[in-house]
Amino acid sequence: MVWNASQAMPFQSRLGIGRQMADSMHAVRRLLLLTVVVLIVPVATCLAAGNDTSAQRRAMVETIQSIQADRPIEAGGSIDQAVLQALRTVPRHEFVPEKLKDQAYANKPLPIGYGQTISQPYIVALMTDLLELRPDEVVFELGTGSGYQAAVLSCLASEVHTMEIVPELAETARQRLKRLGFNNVNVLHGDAYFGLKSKAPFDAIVVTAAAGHIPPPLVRQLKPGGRMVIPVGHPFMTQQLTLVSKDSQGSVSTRHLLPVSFVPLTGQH
Amino acid sequence: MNAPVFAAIGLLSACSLALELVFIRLLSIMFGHAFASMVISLALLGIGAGGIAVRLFRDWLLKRAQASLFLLSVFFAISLFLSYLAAKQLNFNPLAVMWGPEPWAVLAGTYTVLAVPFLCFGAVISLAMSLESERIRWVYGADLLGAGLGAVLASLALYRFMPQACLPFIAAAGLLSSALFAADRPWRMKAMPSLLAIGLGLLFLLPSSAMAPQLSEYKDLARAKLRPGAKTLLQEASPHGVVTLLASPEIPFRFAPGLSPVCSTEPPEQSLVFLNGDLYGALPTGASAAYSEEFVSCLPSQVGYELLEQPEVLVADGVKGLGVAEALGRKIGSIDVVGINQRLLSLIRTPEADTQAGPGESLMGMHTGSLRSFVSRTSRQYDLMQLWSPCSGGACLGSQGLEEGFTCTVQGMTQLYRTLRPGGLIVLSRSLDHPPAASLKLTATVKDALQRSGQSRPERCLALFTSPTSLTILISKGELEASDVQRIGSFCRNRGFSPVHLPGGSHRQADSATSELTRGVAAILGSESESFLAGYPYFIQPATDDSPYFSRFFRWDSLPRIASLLSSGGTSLMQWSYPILIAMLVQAGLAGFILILLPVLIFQRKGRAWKRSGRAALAFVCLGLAFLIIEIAFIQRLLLLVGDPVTAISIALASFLVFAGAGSLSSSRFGLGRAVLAICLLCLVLSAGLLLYAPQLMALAQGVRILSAVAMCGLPAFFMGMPLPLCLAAVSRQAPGWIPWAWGVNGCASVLAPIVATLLAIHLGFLAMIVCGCLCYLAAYLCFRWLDKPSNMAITSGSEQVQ
Repeated sequence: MVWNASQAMPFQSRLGIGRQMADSMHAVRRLLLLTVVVLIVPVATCLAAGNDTSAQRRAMVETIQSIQADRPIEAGGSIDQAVLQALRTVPRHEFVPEKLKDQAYANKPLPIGYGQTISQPYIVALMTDLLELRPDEVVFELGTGSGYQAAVLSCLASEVHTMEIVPELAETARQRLKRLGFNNVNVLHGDAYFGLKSKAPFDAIVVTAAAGHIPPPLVRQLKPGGRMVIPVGHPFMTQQLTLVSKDSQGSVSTRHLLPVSFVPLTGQH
Repeated sequence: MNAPVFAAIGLLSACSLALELVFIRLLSIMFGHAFASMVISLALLGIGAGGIAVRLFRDWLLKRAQASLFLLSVFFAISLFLSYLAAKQLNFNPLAVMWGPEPWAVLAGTYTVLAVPFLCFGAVISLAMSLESERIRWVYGADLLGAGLGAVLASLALYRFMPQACLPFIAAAGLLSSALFAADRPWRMKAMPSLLAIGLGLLFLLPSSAMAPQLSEYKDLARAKLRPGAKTLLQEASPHGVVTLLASPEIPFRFAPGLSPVCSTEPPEQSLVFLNGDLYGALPTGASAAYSEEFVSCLPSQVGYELLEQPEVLVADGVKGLGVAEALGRKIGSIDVVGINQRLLSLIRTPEADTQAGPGESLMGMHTGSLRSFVSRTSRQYDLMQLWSPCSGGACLGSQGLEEGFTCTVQGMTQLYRTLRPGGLIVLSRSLDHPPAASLKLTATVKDALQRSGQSRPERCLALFTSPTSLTILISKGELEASDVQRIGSFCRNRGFSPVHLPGGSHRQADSATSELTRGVAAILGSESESFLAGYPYFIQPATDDSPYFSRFFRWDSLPRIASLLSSGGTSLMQWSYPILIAMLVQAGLAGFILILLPVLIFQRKGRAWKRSGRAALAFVCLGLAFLIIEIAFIQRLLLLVGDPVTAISIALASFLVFAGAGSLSSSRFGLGRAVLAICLLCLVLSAGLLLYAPQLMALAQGVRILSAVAMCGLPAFFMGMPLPLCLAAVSRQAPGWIPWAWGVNGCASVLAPIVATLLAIHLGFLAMIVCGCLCYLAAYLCFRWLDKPSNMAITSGSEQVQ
């Protein structure tokens, strides 16, 4: 893991570490300690969580790898190993209702109540991969649901802020993520349309509850060079992904991606 | 049997048909329309199963005939409640069907429980036919007349009442029929229905939630209600479904399809409108009836206002999308609003529109009916037509249904184009689909319509662009000028929209978001259009009035390629409604086959076989198919002629059933041959007339069109009511014990017929449906001539043994 000063500074300021302290060796040691706490511990938590189901998780990732050969080239080829590692480590069975735990690692969406689902693992992998996260990046998620997507993101980013409109889901996800040790996930309840001004701008945004348009306030809270992923479709058929990118000049572009390679215009039938 | 018994049969038939319509409405709310039709289709197998059950226990039931009729109709009344409540409890989730076997088991359970009341009804009719084997035409006539009455009453009731509120009335009528069956029985039997009616009356005291349909938690309405503080402002029955208006003061709704991602204004305060639990559109909730100009200028559909000064506007379906409030946000000359749902139109407020008008005049006109029907009759012309998603279908192919619609056909678009003033614009907006199918089909349809309207260079009359979530097609009456193209380009640039096609090809493709769409549109508007349409993996040939299924995209030759991708996240590539239709056909066919074959095998084993049962089965299958194929073909034509689907279906159902009932009662005066000849001649002549003179008929006044519709259905229906009782009479002469079985076979074929009819309509068109219907009648006639010959019983009026 590379951690240079230019990346560390905004991170320090977010943690409220004074500039004077950073000049001293003592502060450097504290910084390193904090780095360990904030970055390494969640990863360690990810790695340690649920060893007894690790075989199922490995099998789930193998399934994802076996079908990613069909992934469209425009979506970036194969899924990043770090994303797959995150899926291998997050205990998905902890995020599904008790009666569905035996199906937790099947490659399919499962209902979690309140008209929502925990997404199909393959779609979670694709969405996460499209964000191209680096360890120092900050992510905002609109629509926490079970908290599984946030947990996967937390293994790859420094901070994850996730907001849920249904109070019961927000509270359950908050307790669950805390219990499992995903301490770099901040679960909030409320109206996520305006994002989270106090933590903006974000390097990446995931919108899992889009309503016919991309919220302009979220586009504004995306950093130049940032990426936003929006799954399209009803809860059991989230099969089209919209990727919004903001370039270094702040221009916004959109791409619509299918999880599989299907190029209609070639007419290969 | 006496008059009260025939009245009881008619009443129970009315109840059964009303129950069918009410169940369709309730299940549409609970599961969506596609699965509602599927469940009802298979539940109606209950009627066939009832016939088979009577055949199996015929002797036992005939010994206790009156008590059986009485008890079966009591069971009908009770079971309709129990089956509905059980279906609610089963809580089938149609969205989960592709992910495992459990939902299919729940679906099978739902079929079974919903079939129970129809089984009771089927048993009553077939038992009555067994009792009255010499007066079958009276039983069948009472059945059809009652069903016609039920269709009219249920349609009227559903205009005013919530569907669940109709159930106690149907149950009460069912109990009344049981009382009529027991008219000459001891007082105890007469008293029982009264006691039960009192019990049913108590159901009115139940909390409304107990009977309200169990809304799937994945429905738009259920999900919207989860917002803290969300409150229902209105929930009412309307002819086209249950209308709900929902507000969320704490966390506002922000419905703005296609909104520019760089818009600096947030969507205004809104209430959402739902139809049968599905999101339909939004209305402003503040003091103003209009959205602010600042907000609406961020919407792609506003491009028309950038090119036209104070246009006279026609808005289709004023609540759909952002509707009228969006148009009122701009300066307009006048506005006409057309929509089929009067209740939805009545939700639109007009104060700001009227402040723009002079004293004593209103600049807003409201018109109930279909857009196609309105433009056929109006003499007005418009500068701007705003249409949001006029053809069905969303962003994902997987969820698209297969409904008829006459707006997005080549002929429909041509009529819309004719209603534009020179220089006028049609602005069509819809969800962006990926992979593109509906977008390309719409482009191909518009191109054909432009060519049909005399535009030799259709590509110069069109501009297409996308927002991140929507596609907008701008159709100009006349070629777009260079200055217009520049203004469209600038409109897109300022809002972050991507041009897909601009006349002159001067646009720069902003990103790869719509590259497939761009290439597809270029191919369709270019010289290689035909080969592109033929080679595309989805069916994107323009829809026509003859086969008005805009939302048909399925192609068999693409199936292997799509099927190979299903397990790896490719489910949205498949248009599921088509395979579901085929699955319904297979399922209904299998169930029907078992219901028909099993009793035959049982009786053959017992040595009580009827040697001609095979021929008879073929004849009754043909009769079942023929009646419904022709009926459905006429319903489809009436959708075009009458405009409003609910009115069209009600008129067609009632006319067909009532006139067929009258035909059944008069069947002794006609022979089977004469009846079949009359059916074929009338159907062919009327359908040719409907195809040739459709525009003239659509331009007639509403009353005249309705009367013409009644006449067009009534004439063939009168003769179509004859073959079944004549054939049943023939069975009663040869093998009276097999009448319930024949009734069951006919019932099973009736379940297959709507699916067969839809497939015929999709692939071959209206005329082919009529021809197939006539061929089925001819096949039935030949089977019965063959069947009756050895016993020298020609099925003619003179030789029939009917009283």
